[in-house]
Amino acid sequence: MTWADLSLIAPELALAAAACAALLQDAWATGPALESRSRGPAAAWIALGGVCAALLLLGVRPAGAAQVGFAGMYVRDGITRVVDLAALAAAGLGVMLSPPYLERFRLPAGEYHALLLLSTAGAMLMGASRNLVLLFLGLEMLSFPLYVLAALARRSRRSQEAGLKYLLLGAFATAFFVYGVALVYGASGTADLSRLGRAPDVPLLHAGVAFLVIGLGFEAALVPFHAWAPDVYEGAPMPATAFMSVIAKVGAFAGLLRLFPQALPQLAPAWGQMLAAIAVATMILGNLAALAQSNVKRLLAYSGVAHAGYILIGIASGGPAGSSAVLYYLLVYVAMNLGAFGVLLLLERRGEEADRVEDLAGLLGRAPWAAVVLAACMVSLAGLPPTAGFIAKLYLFRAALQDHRVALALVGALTSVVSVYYYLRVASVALSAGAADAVAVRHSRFAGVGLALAAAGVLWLGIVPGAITALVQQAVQALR
Amino acid sequence: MPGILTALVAVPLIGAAGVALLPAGRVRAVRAVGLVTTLAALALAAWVWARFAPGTSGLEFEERAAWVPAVGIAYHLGLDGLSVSLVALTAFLFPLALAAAAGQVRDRVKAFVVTALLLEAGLLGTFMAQDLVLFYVFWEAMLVPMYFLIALWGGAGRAGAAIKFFLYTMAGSILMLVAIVAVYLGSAAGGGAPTFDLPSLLREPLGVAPGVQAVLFAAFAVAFAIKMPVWPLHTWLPDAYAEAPPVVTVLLASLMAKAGAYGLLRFCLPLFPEASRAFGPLLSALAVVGILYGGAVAWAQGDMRRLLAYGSMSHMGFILLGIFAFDVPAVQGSLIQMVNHGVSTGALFLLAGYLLERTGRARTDAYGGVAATAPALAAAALIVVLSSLALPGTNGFIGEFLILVGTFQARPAAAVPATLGTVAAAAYLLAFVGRVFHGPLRDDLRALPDLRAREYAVLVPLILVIFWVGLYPQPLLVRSEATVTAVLRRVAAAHGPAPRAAPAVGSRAGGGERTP
Amino acid sequence: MSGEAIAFYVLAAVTLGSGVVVVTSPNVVHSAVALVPTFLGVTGIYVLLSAEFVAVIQVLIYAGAITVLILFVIMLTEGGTGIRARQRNEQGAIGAAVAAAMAGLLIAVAVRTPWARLPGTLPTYTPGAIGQSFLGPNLLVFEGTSVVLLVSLVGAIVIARKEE
Repeated sequence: MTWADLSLIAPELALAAAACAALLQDAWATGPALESRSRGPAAAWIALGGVCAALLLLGVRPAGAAQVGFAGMYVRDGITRVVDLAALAAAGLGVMLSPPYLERFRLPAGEYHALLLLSTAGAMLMGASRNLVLLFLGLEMLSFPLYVLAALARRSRRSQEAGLKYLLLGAFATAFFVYGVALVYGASGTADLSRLGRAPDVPLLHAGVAFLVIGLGFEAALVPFHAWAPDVYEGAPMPATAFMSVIAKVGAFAGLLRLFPQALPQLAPAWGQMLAAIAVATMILGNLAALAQSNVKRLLAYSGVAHAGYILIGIASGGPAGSSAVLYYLLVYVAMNLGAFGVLLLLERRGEEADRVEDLAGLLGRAPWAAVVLAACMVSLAGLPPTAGFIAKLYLFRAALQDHRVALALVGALTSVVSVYYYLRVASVALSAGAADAVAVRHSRFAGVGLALAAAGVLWLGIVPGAITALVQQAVQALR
Repeated sequence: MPGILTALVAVPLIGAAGVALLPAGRVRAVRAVGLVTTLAALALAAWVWARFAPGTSGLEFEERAAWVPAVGIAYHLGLDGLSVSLVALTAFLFPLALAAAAGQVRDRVKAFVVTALLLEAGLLGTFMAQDLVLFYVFWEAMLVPMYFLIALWGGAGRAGAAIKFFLYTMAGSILMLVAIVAVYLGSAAGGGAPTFDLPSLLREPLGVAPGVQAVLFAAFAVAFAIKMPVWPLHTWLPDAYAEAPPVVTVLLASLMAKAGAYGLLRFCLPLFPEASRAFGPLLSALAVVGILYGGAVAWAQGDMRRLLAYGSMSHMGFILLGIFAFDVPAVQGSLIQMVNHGVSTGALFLLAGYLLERTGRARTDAYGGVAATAPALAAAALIVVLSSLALPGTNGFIGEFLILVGTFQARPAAAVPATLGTVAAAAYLLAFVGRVFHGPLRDDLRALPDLRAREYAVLVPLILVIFWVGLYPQPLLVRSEATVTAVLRRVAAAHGPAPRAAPAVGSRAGGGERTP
Repeated sequence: MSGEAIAFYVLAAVTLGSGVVVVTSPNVVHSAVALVPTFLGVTGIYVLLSAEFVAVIQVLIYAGAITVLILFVIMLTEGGTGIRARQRNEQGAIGAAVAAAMAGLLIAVAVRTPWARLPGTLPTYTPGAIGQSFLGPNLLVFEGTSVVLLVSLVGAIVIARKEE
């Protein structure tokens, strides 16, 4: 290990340091008491500092040729850069949107922020993996904190159930992943992703890849590995739901990007069909199931499933076009999904989460800006211009048609029409007249800034996407 | 003046931002800012319309900037003979609609004005965009505000009507998006860089197989046909028109339907000339069915706004018929008829709105003898109805006459049944006037007030335009002639004979009268 | 059949058989104790693969520490040793079918794969070599694992901490 290696992982180190600082600060402020008393914003500020430091360290590093470190395990290239950006955006928004909720529902702030930061670091490691072992470690570092976050509300049985469910199913999926790593190693004699391209095309390799897809597909909530998502999303405390809904996708799709278009282009003919079939099933099932939901968390869970299907279009299409579409979609998804959750986090129904659609009624009258942000995020999730969701979908359709996957583009298009129904229902309830008297709106400057940033992202990526499209385009230049 | 088209889109957006920053309680200020904004846009549009140089088929006031260079999407605006009058129509109707809305929309006024201004920006952009993606952005960007206008301020069945409207149009337009991407990829067949830019795409034939061209044409045409709407894709229309607040119905019928017809002319014909010719007979037949079906169903409606909705659909059939006659006078007639339909149908829905506002009654048989207590209202209604019936001297005559004359030349089999549509229009519209305004005055309508000053201010400009176009249509005709000829030459170049020459403008209708 | 193959099948049978007891026995103590032969069977396979160090660690940590820990937890839980739980539900048949299909698939894959003999010698799994590897090429993974362990600790404390 050299200083060069250390400077490669500087953003991850900043997050880990901030996580430890948040834990220590919490312990210091709590003293000998059994339960954390620090619900002030100190932990949030420390976490935000860590995220900002990581962003800064990301920014000062000149974009250029790929740099490899840690004996070829870790790579910092264009893809790493965009994945880091998406993960850090998720962390930053997750930190900014949660304080009012943490305070009201008395969740331990130190642990919450520490786990959030470490999970972010895990997703970033996945995006920087050049080795299956590191990819596995990143997956674990991503998902372990999420299991705990899901169970963070100890007074809520539903939260405990969500945590346990997520842990058991997650461990099961991870076991598949490890087995897949072993099989791939057995078939190719290497765990180095950059050398898999020369692996002999034997059945064992395909079996191993299938298991890797199961492990990553679970985290991304692809059909048929999505069954955990609605229950866990619904049971977990809402800030945890919000964060996991985006970070798990960032990590999982970063992993799939590293695996498919990059490491195994020679399997594209066989695996493109397979992934396309999964994408079609995921889009259809996610959107149809979301239609029937009256709980916003469940609705967004199925919507997350549907979006996983959309993003998979990019992976299945492969090549630079598909990969850049995936990267762009991840950035957009972080902004729009966290924007939507951010508004819900401000609401409270008689000491409980306000997570039913009808709780949003009359929001325009009481918190006009929040209602407008929610509507903008819903419009973007539905993929309508002039928001970011539209450009992201345009990119995906372009990738699919370029790869002559017309059916994939058509299913994506038609299921987007279905999705409009449930997204616009939420938006129009939020903008409608009438007041749900039981629902209170908490105002918080911290969360307000977070919401403003999310909304700005949704509009910026939709109206002037030039800078970011150039970034993702540049990121995938090396792919062919 | 460079940047004027951008200014035209930006003015409503800036106005919307300005309104959004006002406190919600200051309703008068909100309305005033909204009205001033739309008037400013009207001033710009009028300037553009006046300065538009007729006789060229190319784009004027063109603006172009890179938008997403990574995939070749450009911010490209421009006006030609197809769009200049529609832009003017849009800018003309919005101040009237906002003024009329003052009497109809009383809650969440601020949100209403903001949404309406966003809709105006979307519509203006739709008519000016010259890049396929930019067009799609504006196209959908007008859909979203329209959804909210119906869903939030509509009648009892608003939620269902709004989502039905949205799902229909979205289903069509998202297939168009896929087709747009396919066109983009097809444009690289010659080896160049793919592009979304419409003028660049038209420079050489699209590199796709004829079968693929037919599919792409269908994807575009269905999106536009849903919006117009063309029979049998019209089933969203009665609910949306009847449930939307009356002023929003005005915008739906007058402007949004035009966007569909405009799209056919702007994209389908030039991009897919062979497929257009191949599908021409089918679309003409659908147009005739729509004319007759709309007329017949309108006649059977008891609900005032459903009657007008089906009538509007019947009239849109004439526009479709004219477009697919591939004949210069007919297409010019269609373009004029788009403006006419915007003005006349808009005025009809406004009048229906005024009646609803006064009594809350939707059915025609709940009225009777209104002319006795509100003579000005009745007179205005009669003028507008006569213009809808294409009485000579009004705008409707010019448009329908040109369309039918052109179609008789090109497709006599379609033109003959279509003339029946004008008869049907007379039947249902005069029945409407008779039932509502004539006959014995109902006792419960004795206190019905006549037009107020504000309502005069809305109706008088519309009636002036009805007569202006009816007596002196030349300014509209000269503006569209060159572009229409160029588009049809493209279609004709695919196969078949060259299009007929342009009509001797001004000599046929209005007899050279110069009275405005 | 060579002696090595016989040893492998015996060890595999022990592992699988006791594994089945773990997941089917209604008595929680039986389940916990059945873990021991499972782990020992795996240990034997490690020995067959000449990874002696890993085998020793497996015995120490899994068969020794983990199982004992689990038994302690059961004993310390109120009524723990008496817990009788039904481990199967109505979806057992589906699960079995899926598992059988998966096994069939894997066996087919293993049979159809031409197992190339890769060049080079077997790496040495001595404690020294493993230590070198942890602090050399695999440093990032080693350090990253410590972060995962930290998360597990925090998680355990968060979930187990007594409420005020």
